Amino acid sequence: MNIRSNVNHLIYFTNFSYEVILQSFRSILNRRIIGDIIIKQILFTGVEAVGLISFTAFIIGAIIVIQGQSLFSQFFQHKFLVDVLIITLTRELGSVLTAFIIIARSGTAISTELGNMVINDEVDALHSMNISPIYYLVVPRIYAVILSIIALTIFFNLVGFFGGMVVSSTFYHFSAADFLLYLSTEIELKDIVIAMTKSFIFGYFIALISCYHGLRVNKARTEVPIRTSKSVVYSVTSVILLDIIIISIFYVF
Amino acid sequence: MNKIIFNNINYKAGDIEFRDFSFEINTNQVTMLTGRSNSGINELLDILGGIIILDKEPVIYFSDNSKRVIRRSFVFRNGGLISNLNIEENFMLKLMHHFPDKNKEQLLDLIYNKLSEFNLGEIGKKRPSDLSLDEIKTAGFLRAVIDEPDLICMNEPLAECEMHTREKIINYVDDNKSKMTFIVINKTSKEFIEHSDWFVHIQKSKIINESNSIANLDLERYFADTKI
Repeated sequence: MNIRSNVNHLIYFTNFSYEVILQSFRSILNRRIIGDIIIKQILFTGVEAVGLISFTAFIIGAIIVIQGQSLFSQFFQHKFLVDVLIITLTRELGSVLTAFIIIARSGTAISTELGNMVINDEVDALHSMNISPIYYLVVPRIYAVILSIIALTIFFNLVGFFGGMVVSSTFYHFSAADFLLYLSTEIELKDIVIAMTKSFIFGYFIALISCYHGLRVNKARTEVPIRTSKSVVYSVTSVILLDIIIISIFYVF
Repeated sequence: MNKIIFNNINYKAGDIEFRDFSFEINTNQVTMLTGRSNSGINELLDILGGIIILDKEPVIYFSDNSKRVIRRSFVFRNGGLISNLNIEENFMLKLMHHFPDKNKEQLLDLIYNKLSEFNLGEIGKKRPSDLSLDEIKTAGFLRAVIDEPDLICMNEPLAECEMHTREKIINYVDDNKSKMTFIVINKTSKEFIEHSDWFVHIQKSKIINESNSIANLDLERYFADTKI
């Protein structure tokens, strides 16, 4: 029964993903209806998350430098601090932590909003107007989450570097000019491309999973928190699995 | 008389099952579906209104073989308005989809003319959460009829409405029968009875009886407020 149920879920999810891709292409030709929704979702997912991202990124950048200094101080090699920052922030923590913050803020909000829309017959209302809920509800959220997560990941990295620079120049006599010089010489285009690729893929799956679980609510209010919780679990799991896959592709093979 | 015909309806959920079910209604009339709880009338109305999406869509056509697509709309019991859009945007969503060639000003004129017919011109910028139940129901009704679809399925269109709104909705249906076809479920009051032209009684997902008079359907104590 459990296996059968899981297989059914997988089939539903595959069909759902296929429909999302089809409607995404359709939306390129017809943006008249969903343009406003994309902007509103970007405001919520991207702009309103800037404060939390800034706070987290600054602290993480500072922590990495403090931890790195305890390791590298014996070698008197400040520039290793910059290498550690690049490796941990750009290659890994920037995109992953931004993804987790978006799951916590926007993924849950999307699941809850769509779940309540199902309960209030709003999704049926879209059917009655011959408007695909996937076109109207899912596609704009996917676009908005992808754009937001890419922008926030770039921002996370910049603020993280700034945090690291402030701590290293304040406490470890590593001037800001030297810090920026090392940063500009050590960071590789490949690292940035991989971070953006990861963000794009994370954003797509976070939005897809959150929308899927929101729309799977079946007319009972008690299902909304259950589905929201599931969307968080599946989103976090997906991000971790996708991360190891992408990292393996780019850095192992 | 022209009819709208639904063929090959196949649906199963719990005890409700329609298998190779067909349904015909006369156009430009009000058809009332009657049936007790769990008889399948709500599910049938949802299928006819395109709310329940079946794995295999039923075949829908006019009996006079006119080729055009049958445009359907639905009046929800709770209004069915999109909660994060104001009333103007709710109407605009539907109209932009159905009238892609019209510009925004033309659509706004259409919206506010329709709202004004029911003295609701001032609610355009309000969200559903700022409205009374009566206003929500009325706005939901007007959104359903604004593009004058061929078939309008109505689930308790008068529930939660004040008396003057009920009269306006019934008058609107009477006045527009010549342009549209209506199917209604209305258990909570008997006001639609004398305005309905055809009655279809359903039990256990089957049509048990049809008549032009509800008195012929043997519906003892069917309506909430009266004994027929």
